[in-house]
Amino acid sequence: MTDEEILALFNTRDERAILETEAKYGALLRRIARNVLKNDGDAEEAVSDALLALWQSIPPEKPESLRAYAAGAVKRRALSLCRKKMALKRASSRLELTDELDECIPARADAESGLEAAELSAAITAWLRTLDKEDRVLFVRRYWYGDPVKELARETGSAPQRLAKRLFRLRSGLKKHLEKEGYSI
Amino acid sequence: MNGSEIMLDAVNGIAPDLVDEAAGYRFKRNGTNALAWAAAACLMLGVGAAMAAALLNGAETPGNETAQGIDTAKKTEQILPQPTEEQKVMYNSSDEFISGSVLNKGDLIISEALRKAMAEETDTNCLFAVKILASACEKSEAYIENMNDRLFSDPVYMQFMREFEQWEPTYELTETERRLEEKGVSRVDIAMDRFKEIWKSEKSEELAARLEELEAQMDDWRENLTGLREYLEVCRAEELARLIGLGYPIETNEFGQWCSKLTADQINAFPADPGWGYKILWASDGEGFV
Repeated sequence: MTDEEILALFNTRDERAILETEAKYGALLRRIARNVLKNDGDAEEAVSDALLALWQSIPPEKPESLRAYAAGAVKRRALSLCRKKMALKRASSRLELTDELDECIPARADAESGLEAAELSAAITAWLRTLDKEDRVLFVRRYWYGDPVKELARETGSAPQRLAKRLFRLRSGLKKHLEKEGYSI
Repeated sequence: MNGSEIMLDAVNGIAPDLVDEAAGYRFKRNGTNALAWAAAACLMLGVGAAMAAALLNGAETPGNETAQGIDTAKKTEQILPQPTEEQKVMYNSSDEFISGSVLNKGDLIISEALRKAMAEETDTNCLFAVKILASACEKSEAYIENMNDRLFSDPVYMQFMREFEQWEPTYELTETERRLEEKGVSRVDIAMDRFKEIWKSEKSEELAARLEELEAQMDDWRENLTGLREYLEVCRAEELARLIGLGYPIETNEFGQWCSKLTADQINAFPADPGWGYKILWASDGEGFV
């Protein structure tokens, strides 16, 4: 079924919309949730919640891409679950990603020029659009989807060490870009 | 929220079209490097040179035919017997794949689908449109071993490795290095990088420079397999000329693959060189066979 057909089911309040979304994108959504939560049970919960969120938000929302919209919903839900759990025990995947992203934080040039995440998102989006497609996808797969380095190395046909270096260069590039553009956190 | 949390949230908020793009994207596999790493891994372990060689040359690589080879094939094609008008030619764009075809020395594999078609065909003059994968196993093994010896048996490198082997078990990874290890970088690689720094700072400038030079050569070998591909291209051109000389009308398609129209008898009596590995399977139109 095409995305348009599934969106039409949402719009006509046909509950098959959820089943069809799960059938088409369930594997992707579970992967995203598992990458964040590292737990199948929690991932299932995040996917179910995300599908419910889609049902509640479409309409009035009219996503251009159902895949990106559903992926965003499950990522938000997974992170929300993760934050709750981190009160008890910090989830290792999130810790790992934040550790890596530490390297992208621009030097604090002005203590009062803090950025909102949305503003920073726009700056990162602009920077990503300057990269070649392979690097852009690689960055998004690692830091948005949270895919493991080993998995990405396998997909790209690189050695993990080489891929880790490539990611390091990308993070350094992002940091330089943010500093050059005058951003600080 | 601290800085890194803000960064993570900011990455989560990137434009949806980039998220969508990444979900549907298939990376162009870095074939050369993947093969190089596979080969290097075998070499470093000191085993599996045959496997590395087969990997390097077993699967057809588009465009890895030399101009000389193509010219030879084209020129010889003109004097080779061509199918007569009455001769039936069988094509079969079956779903046979060449990926994973790792050939070993002495292999002469005729694919199941082709074998079945040959058995079912009653017309002995019938031609089968096939492609031939060929791997110069013995020659690539020898080249790899030779290169291996030249680089890894250098006295300076051997001295470095002996000292590294003594030092490595005593080294405790730092917190940062441990994180790297958790991300899939091997302990040996991490420790070796660290030891190189120590070693270069403690030894004479001359030794340090020699090690750096060797490292550059090894990196080049791992990355580019310098010389090997060119050498194998020459080998393939020679083998192609030999087969054509024996009456096998082999053409090279635009992907550098060897294609031919052969009778079942010709296929069954394929004049294999014992130092090579071959696989004969259906050619498909999608691969440029005409």
